[in-house]
Amino acid sequence: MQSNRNNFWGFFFALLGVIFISWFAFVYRAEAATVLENPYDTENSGSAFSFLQYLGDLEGLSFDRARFWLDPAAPHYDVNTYIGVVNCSDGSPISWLITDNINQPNTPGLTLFEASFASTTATAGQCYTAYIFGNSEGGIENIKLSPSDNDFTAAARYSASGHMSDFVDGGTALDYPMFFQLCNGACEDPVVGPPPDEISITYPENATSTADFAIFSTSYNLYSTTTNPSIFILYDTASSTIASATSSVSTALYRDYLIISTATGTAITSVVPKYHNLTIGQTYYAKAFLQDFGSCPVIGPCLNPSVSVLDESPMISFTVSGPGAMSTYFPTPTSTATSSEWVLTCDEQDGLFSKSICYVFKYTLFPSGSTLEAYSDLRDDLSNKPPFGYFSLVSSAINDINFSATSSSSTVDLSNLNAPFFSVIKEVIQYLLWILFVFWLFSKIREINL
Amino acid sequence: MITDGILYIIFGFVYIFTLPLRLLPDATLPTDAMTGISKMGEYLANANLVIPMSTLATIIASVIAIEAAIFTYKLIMWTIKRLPTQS
Repeated sequence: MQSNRNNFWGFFFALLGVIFISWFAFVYRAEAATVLENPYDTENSGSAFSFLQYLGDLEGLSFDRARFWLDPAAPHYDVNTYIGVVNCSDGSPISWLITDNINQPNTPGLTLFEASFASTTATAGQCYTAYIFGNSEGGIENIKLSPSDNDFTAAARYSASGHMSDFVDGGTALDYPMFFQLCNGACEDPVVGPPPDEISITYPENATSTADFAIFSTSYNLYSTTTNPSIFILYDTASSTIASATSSVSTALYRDYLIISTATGTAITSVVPKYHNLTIGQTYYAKAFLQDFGSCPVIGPCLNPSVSVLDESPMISFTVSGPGAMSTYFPTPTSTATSSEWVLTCDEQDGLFSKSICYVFKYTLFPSGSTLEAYSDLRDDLSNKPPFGYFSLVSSAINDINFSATSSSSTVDLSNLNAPFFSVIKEVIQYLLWILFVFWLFSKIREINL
Repeated sequence: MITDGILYIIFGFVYIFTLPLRLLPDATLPTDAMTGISKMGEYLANANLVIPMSTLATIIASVIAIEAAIFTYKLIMWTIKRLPTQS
């Protein structure tokens, strides 16, 4: 029996080992390919301003990092870097991967700036482009590119009035504001414009459990000129009822909104009060819309305002774990007892004798809510103290792990592994694991000796 | 009232018994530990592309729960057998 048991565990761990080794092989093969085939240009790292660029073939590969050094002796930095996916044909932006600004007036010593952003993969007809806008006092000088070493086969120099000249590797550009475009192929005159309006929900976080809350937190970029901008939050127990920007009708259960300032800017945070109680244990879906109501405000005489949706956030989901702070929370009177079994209601329609017996019985034998609450409070108090607190913290952190989420910091892009072939493998492994578990359970029941 | 009284007496014992623990400051984990768990989650999320991590976690949790239940049962039975009237 013992031998069978050892064989079982040996087989189980061997299978686990094979699975993990396979996974590591996939991961590090992909990473090795990224590093070896697509190195970063480092030869100019000693120059006053050096831009390290992605050297690989742009199509079908991910691009997740940009680095450049700034001369620590420069008296003033004011550099805007835009890196994005653009149409190869005309340079018009498709999506911006990074929009960063470095502004270090009179603060010498900044030597390295590294910006990372979520990996993405270009499809046919899309190019990656790095734009460097300089508006500085010597911050951008002696820019060196290495077109011969990489797939960025051309670089062009632009001023505010348009294309100035093609850029020669190692050249010095002192005109500012300047605009550089690194192209895969011939540079086309780009469509220079601000990044698009964007909005995202920052609280509650996607795919988390949270106590009922009073406000949605949002972060938005507003560049468009607006008259009556507002943020609408639609939320419901089903994702299908929340309209998209292309749909004019929403059947979402709840909607809250906030009229915001017309001031434009980046990463503006704003909170939208939530006016509806949520059901505990229920999962909700929510989406934020950045909208402009034009000449017709959200609250006003217009019945059919001409709504212009500037952007809509990705759909988030969250589960309500318990009661919490609500800005307009009017609690429904309920028993403080933790279980309905502890609630005893005497029927007011009963006769005086029956009702009296009921009240006496209730008074003498039924525990009050405050007694049970004392136990509950003690448990909560202890759950935060060592050693239980450590288990609670670790347990909470582990529960927050979302297996289906995409990694945000890994430099390895495994999205191309999510092909039907790997789905089949995953399914087979899933069945194998369950079969193993059932075998283990049978062997356990058979050898159990209570 | 009677049930309340009994519950309060038990609560008093528990309250006194747990007093040393409650005097301790709230437990906190080093930031690195929390970051480590978070990073582990990110790597597991990557592994999830090929390996059914949710299934694996469920099975491992089930195995641990079953083993723990058997162990607890045996521990209780061992304790009962130590009582003078039990053989």
